[in-house]
Amino acid sequence: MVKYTEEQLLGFKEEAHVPQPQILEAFNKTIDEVKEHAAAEAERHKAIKWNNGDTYIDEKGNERPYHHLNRRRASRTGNKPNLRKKSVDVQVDEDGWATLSTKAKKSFGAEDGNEERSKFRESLRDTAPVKARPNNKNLGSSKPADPREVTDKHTNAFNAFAALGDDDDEEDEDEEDADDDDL
Amino acid sequence: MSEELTKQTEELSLDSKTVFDTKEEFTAKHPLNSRWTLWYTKPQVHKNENWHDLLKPVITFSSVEEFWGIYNSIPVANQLPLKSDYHLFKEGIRPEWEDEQNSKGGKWSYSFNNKRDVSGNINELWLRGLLAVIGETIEDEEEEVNGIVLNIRKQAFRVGIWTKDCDETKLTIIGERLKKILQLKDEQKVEFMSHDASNKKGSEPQIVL
Repeated sequence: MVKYTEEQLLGFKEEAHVPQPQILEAFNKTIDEVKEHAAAEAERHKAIKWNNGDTYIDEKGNERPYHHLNRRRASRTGNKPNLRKKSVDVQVDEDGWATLSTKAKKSFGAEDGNEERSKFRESLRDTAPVKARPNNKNLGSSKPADPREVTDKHTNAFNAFAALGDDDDEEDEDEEDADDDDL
Repeated sequence: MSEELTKQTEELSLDSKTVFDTKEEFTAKHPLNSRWTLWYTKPQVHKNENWHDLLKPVITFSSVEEFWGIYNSIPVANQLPLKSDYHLFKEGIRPEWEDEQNSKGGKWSYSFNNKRDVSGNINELWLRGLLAVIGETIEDEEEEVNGIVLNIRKQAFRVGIWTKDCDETKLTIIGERLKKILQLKDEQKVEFMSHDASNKKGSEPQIVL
């Protein structure tokens, strides 16, 4: 078997001989045609994508589109928001009452610390049982009211008008003036 | 007697040809072990073109000098249009897996996925591949290699060596040499897959080096 190393083959590079030049010319012509077609396709694709036909001539004489000035809303080309009403769950109970079940909106971070919270609650439950003492005064009752509790009691309330006429303030002002004179 | 001799001599000179008779044969100084055919897959320009319209043999050669003549006259790898393929196969073998010589074989391949990095180097790497195949140094005495293929794609340059069968012992040498020819690092793996497996979805390569 005749073998040639890479170096041996490279050594014959200068002795190149073209066996059938007309075939290779035709081949090169085919490739040029393919390249031209590809370039035309690329240009056509570019024109469809970017050009709305409105152009200007720049300082170098090139025709340029105005697309950089004619930006469109993102919603025109990008993903539009889905504004359709979503179907809602309506539950009908045994008596025929329909209830609209809406999912509670979760606030940011609402789920954080849930575990800790439940642990804390559990620990409280185990250690310190709290007895509930209802304040009977604030609870509505069918019993007649105790007249002793209903009578007005004296309360010390702040009277703004009385405060305005107080002499103490004047004394204070005099003291302040005296301080200013010292300065 | 002399008339007879003259006649015979004339007949001889008419029938016999020497390397000096045609320019092609005269310049064929260094014959290759095999005759090779260059094929080209043209990208589809019209929708009615099918695979057989696109894949065409370009030229056949049998000497080192002819190889250089052809190589110097055709576009280098990075000048080919996208979706083009060069195939260099032994004469008589079509670069299709359906061909009888290919049907039981497969191919070693490597994809240069970062085209920007390799675009300055791909011409040299492809030439090294061609030289190893026509010089037949890519294998020892196995006669296992049927051809070499270059695919020009948007995302990658891919080089493949097509083999006659799937005998792992013979294939390993070829795979290792391909890796050297393409100047790949250890972590850049070449993969072998049989044509049968290539036609099945989700097939894994049989050998990875």
